[in-house]
Amino acid sequence: MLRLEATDIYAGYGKIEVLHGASIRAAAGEIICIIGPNGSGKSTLLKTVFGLIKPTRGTVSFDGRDISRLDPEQKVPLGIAFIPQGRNVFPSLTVRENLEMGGTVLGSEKAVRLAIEEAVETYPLLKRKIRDRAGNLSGGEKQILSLARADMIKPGLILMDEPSIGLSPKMIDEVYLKIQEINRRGTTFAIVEQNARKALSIAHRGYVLDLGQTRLEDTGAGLLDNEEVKKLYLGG
Amino acid sequence: MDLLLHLAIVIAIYAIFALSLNVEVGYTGLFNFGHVAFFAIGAYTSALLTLAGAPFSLGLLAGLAAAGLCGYLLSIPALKLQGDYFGIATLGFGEILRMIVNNEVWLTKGPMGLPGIPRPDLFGVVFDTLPAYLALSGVFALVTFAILAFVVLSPFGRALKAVRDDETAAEILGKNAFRFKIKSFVIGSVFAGLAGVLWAHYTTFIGPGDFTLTETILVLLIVVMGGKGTFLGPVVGAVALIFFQESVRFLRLPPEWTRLLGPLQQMVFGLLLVVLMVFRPEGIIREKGGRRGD
Repeated sequence: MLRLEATDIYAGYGKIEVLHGASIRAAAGEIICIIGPNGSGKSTLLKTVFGLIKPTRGTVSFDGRDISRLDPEQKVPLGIAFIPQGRNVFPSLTVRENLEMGGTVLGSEKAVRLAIEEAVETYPLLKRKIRDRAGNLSGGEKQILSLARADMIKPGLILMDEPSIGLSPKMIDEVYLKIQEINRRGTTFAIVEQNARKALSIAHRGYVLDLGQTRLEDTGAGLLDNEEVKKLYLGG
Repeated sequence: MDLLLHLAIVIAIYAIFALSLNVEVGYTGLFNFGHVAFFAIGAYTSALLTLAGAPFSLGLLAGLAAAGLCGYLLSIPALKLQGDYFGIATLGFGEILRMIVNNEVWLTKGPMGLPGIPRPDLFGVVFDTLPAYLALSGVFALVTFAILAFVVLSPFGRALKAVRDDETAAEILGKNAFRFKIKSFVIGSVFAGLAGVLWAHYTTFIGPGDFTLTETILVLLIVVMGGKGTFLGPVVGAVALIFFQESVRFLRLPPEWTRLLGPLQQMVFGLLLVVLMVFRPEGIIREKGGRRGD
């Protein structure tokens, strides 16, 4: 049984259809990476999997259960987290309050407290800044915070849109190290990335999306070596 | 002395009014330009009931319930709108309500207003003197302050701020932003209703002229000047602005100047607002972590 299976997805915004039959799947413990040119529907695909957009056709299933029509607030308790593109921390809340927001589906206050304690152990950077307003963090720190916040509920699947956007090369490495660390604990990742080389280098498998359809599917290394992919997306 | 008591009572009522708006504007980021409507609903509901012979306690509860219910009913369609459009919808609601009050003469006596609203009578005590009324409105203001402080400090309040900061991000963490905004709006409406009830039974006369857009602007000014998104901001703002507004009326000026006072007061309000927005956009009291001028 696959952790995530999105089959033949058609979706879009209002009358504009962006995805015309895209499919991805990920086994438990896998990191998959979705690359493709701008406008190919990568972000739309993630939003559809998470439920921010409902597919007009096709199914999304999670651990064998059909979740195509569920809203995000119903998917989060199942263990699906989404980290959208760019800064999405709550600037006027402290780092701790941001983490608390991430743990709301845990139910009890005690569970939230324990999860925060665990998070500051895993992310020492956050420990030093726990009382700071998230708005005052650097771009990289915000990305780490949003990762830690998604990780609060120990989700089975994390959907991540452009984790490297606007970050320095050093910070990108740090974020990807954290992704691999969380993945080793068994969390599946589906990452959409412009920085294709970096993402493919850690992905178990990759997909190339073009014009709303899945064009290619291979291992991460396989796509990195693929002549066509090199020419089109990796820049030689 | 009576003047001071009068000032204190009006300040207490406006503090409640401003605190209620602060939940919406300050903590949830909902710019409600029709807040006076809920003040009016509270005032009229309680006034009509008590004039018909109902006890004050019933009028009070009915005033709160009516304001909350109308807030709920308005919020469902209005909160489907984003930002500016929500503001316009609430502005429209405020004006519609004033028109209804003005025209439904069978119920509200229209422009004639409702005179002779009885002074409150609670647990056998009649609050018919200024000190007694001050005690009553002061206690209500303190209770409002305590309840709203408790609400915004709770996880619920944190979620409101999260919705204000980034609605999408809040939804991503499994929060239904729409429902949180509705709750915030209903809480704000109920307490605006309370302020309205206290106002009606204090002045003992209400008419459509008491519930114009100017009142909404005044209370918005109180919140923004005092410091939105803070506990004390609306209270400080109410003290500063009401004191200023009411005290001007009692200046001993030559008669030929007094006709200038009204417009002058509006001009000074405008000037104050401009000066504040330039030098201290976050208000007198600053929200911790709040963004400057935002």
